[in-house]
Amino acid sequence: MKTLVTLLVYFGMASSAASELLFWHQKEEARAWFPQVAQQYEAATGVRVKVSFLPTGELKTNLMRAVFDGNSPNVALVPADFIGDYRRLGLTPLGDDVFAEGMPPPALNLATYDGSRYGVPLLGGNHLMLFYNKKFIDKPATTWRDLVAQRDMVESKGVKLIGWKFGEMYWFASFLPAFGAFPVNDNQITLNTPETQRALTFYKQIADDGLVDSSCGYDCSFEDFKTGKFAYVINGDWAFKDMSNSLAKDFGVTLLPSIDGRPMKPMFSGMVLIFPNQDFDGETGKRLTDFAQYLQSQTMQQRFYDELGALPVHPTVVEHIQQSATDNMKALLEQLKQAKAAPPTPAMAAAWIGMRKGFELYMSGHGTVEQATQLMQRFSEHELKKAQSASLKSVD
Amino acid sequence: MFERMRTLRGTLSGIILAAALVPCLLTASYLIERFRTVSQTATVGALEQVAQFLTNDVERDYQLLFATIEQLSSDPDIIYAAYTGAFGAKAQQKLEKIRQIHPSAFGLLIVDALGWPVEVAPTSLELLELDPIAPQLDSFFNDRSGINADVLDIDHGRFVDRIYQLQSRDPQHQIELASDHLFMVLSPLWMSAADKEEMHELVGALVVLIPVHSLLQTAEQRLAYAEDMGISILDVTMNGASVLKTTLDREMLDRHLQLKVPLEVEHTDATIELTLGVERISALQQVEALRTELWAIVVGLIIIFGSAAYIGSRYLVHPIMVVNQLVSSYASGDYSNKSLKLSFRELQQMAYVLEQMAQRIVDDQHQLEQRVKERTFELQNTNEELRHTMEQLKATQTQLVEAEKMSQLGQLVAGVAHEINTPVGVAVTAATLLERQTEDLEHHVEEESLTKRRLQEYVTSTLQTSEMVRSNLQRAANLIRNFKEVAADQSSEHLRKFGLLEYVNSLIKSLQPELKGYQLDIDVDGDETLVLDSYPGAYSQVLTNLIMNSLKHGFYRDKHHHINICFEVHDQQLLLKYRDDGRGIDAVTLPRIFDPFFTTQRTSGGTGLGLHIVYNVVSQKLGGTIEVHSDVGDGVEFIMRMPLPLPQRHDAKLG
Repeated sequence: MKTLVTLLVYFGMASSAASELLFWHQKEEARAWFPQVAQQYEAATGVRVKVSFLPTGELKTNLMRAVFDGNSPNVALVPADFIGDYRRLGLTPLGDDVFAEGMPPPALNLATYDGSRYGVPLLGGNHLMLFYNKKFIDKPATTWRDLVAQRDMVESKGVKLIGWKFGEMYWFASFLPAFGAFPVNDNQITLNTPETQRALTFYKQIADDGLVDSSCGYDCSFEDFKTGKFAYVINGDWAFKDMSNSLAKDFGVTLLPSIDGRPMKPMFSGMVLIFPNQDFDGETGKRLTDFAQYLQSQTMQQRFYDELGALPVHPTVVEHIQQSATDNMKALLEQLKQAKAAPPTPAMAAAWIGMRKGFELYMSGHGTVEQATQLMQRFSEHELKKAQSASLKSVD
Repeated sequence: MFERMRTLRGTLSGIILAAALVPCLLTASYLIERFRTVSQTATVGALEQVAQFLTNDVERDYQLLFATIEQLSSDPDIIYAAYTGAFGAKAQQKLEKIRQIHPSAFGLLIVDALGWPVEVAPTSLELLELDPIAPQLDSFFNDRSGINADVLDIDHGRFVDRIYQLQSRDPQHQIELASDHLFMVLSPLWMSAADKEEMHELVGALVVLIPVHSLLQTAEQRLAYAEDMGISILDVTMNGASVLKTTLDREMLDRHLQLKVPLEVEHTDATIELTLGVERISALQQVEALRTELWAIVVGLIIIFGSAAYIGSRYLVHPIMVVNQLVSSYASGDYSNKSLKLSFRELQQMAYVLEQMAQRIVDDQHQLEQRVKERTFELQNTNEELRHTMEQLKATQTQLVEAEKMSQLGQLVAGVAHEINTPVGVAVTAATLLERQTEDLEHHVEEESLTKRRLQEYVTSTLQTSEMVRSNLQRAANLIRNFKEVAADQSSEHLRKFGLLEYVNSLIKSLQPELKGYQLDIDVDGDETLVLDSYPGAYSQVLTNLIMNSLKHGFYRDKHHHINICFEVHDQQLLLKYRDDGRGIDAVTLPRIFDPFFTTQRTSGGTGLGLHIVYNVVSQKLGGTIEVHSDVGDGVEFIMRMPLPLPQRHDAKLG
């Protein structure tokens, strides 16, 4: 009976798979846009694309669950570093036909691990930078010292100096390079280092000094900045367009301030299409290839930029952007140049997890900075080990 | 005199107090004892009820916890968190939420199949080394046949200490934990392969650490509502063995009312029991408080009733005191009219009667005074007469004394005259013979018949006769001289120097006439060189009277007697002793011998003044003392002590 039901469901899904693709994404700014694109695509191709938005931080877990549960979407637009969990996401190396011609190698590299491409790059960037409100800041700080010096002036205007999603590792990671630290090297975890400890110490100190609110969530760097509660925020290119529209001429973008002469280097990873547990042989595979090609087209790539403010990977569009970039866009692009790629490796995927553990231990005051980086290191290594052997074992 | 007697006021106060308080105390004590019994029963009942509530609460908590654990174990985020850390953040949030809901779940861990803690709550447990529970985890993961949730008892003090130490953030901070045990709940995390339904993987375990210490704390918090009952958890046992670090000894346990309650805990066959107790003292605290209250009330009542009793008794006793004062004033002689107004009729009547009596006393007193005055007047008159009579008697006494003295002197004169008469008579006779012989010689001369023989006979006779005349006249002269001396001394007040021994001997000689007729030896002993500057007459009077007294009253004429007179000077005192061996004086008479006119021979002419004169002379003229010792048949001894020199008398005439 169970088998019969399963078969019925399978055929049901198969028949619906012929004309419907399940597409997941986490781009908040595209919540309304992707459905429009899907409608347009359906109108053009007859292939229905059911778009589902999942908040950032839940996309990966939902994808994994979907994979474990056997009901994963056909395609998802994810940060490129998701590819590090390719096993758990049920990713398999993609054939060349799914990639648009002329895809620049740097973009392809975003989705390549161990010589195999597990995703289709659609967007670049996905990096952090320093936004500022020109209403409060005449001249943006270029160093943390300058930033601190502006505190009294800013607070006298009734606003807070700076905010960001303090507890999110993506933001913390942007501080690491300023201290000579980086979570991974090749596919090895490199978290238990004095440099990481210094970065952690600095990060905690600025919170202890009241420079930044450690309880800040995403709203600190988004809504609160838009409503003029912060002079500075650290946010990503995904919020660029929204901020531009909201703050207009008061919106400013600049590089993240250096720390004691050393630049902060945010990570960038780009956004890639992945196809969890998808078999590209058959009708569904064709639909997916078509859809991927559609999104990689120049038109769509342009639309990504024009309508979302997202950085495409299409070289022509990129060139147009560079030529017509506003000051803010130039700053964005400049920051991207100084950013460090988040490698799509299992080590990076494990490092995100390990970093969070050590970070929370240290910030909660339950451990020393040494214990924190040690925990980061060994936890990440453990996760890496599991990830590299990740496969469901049957139990007899 | 009356200080030690009970007072009416005090007795009255005591009676009132006792009458008021004793029934109260007895009744209250009885009620308190009854209340104590009821209270104890109620306390035990309350304890059972509390225990039941507690058990229900704890069991419910753990049922909920286990249900939560089971539910959590089925939560995909939890399961997947064991599989991959990508789910860690969400899983950690859920673990934290569970901790908040179930505080006794001190620590929650998601442990992967390798025994690695992939997520923990609280964060402090990130540093917890799981080596102490590794065997249990290994066994759990290895025994997959019938794996279900399990509750294990972990007895590892350092592991439990470490858990709390990590939570406190202070490595030096030491919490006094009640137990080294913790209960570890292990719930398997099964992850199914989507495409292989009958295959599933044990990806990890949800581990819940429930230190017995936190279990106790939770239970004690539950008991907070019964805080006023003082209920505490005395012990926690698992399969009969205590899981607490320190348990109360027998003596302490006995001080508690105890109740054991079993705990039904899922997924374990172990018998877990809580022993609740309440100190008997606390249990009966209400009773004790009531008793304290009672005593406070009693004290208050004592004070109130005591004051009331005092005031009441004072009010009652006051009129009696007034009457008492009235009587005292009457006793002290104050009979003035008081006109008392007293509260009680009886006492008023008493006071009235007393006042009447006082008035009568006053009246009688006046009469008495009048009569006393009259009698006094009479007595004064009588006294005057008596005084006059006394003077006359004194004068008479003096006259008699003088007369006696004169009589003594007369006796002395008579004696001396008698004594002188003899030698004078002999002298006269001798002189007459001489005259006759001379006349005869003259005849012969005239007749010329005087021969040589007759002349020699005349010469010899004349010499003899002349010698006789001379010696007798010399004797008479001596007697007269002695008498003169004695008489003169006795009759004169002249102070002069004299040799005592010689004087006494002379006196004795002068008394020879008196001494004749007795067989008597008189011995006089003393320093012959002693010269007194005194009244010899006084000594003469004294010794004369003493000798005469001995003769008259002490001696038998037909018996030989002795008188011994001795004297010596010692410490500026002349000690003069007179002793005879006569009849002696009986004890009745002895004290009176110096009394004037006292004599035992009144009928034979005794005046009774002799020794009185002796006493007066010794004590007054000579300034000395005299004492007498005698017994019947043992003679009499007079011891006289006169100061030397003689104390000056202003009326003394110095010789």
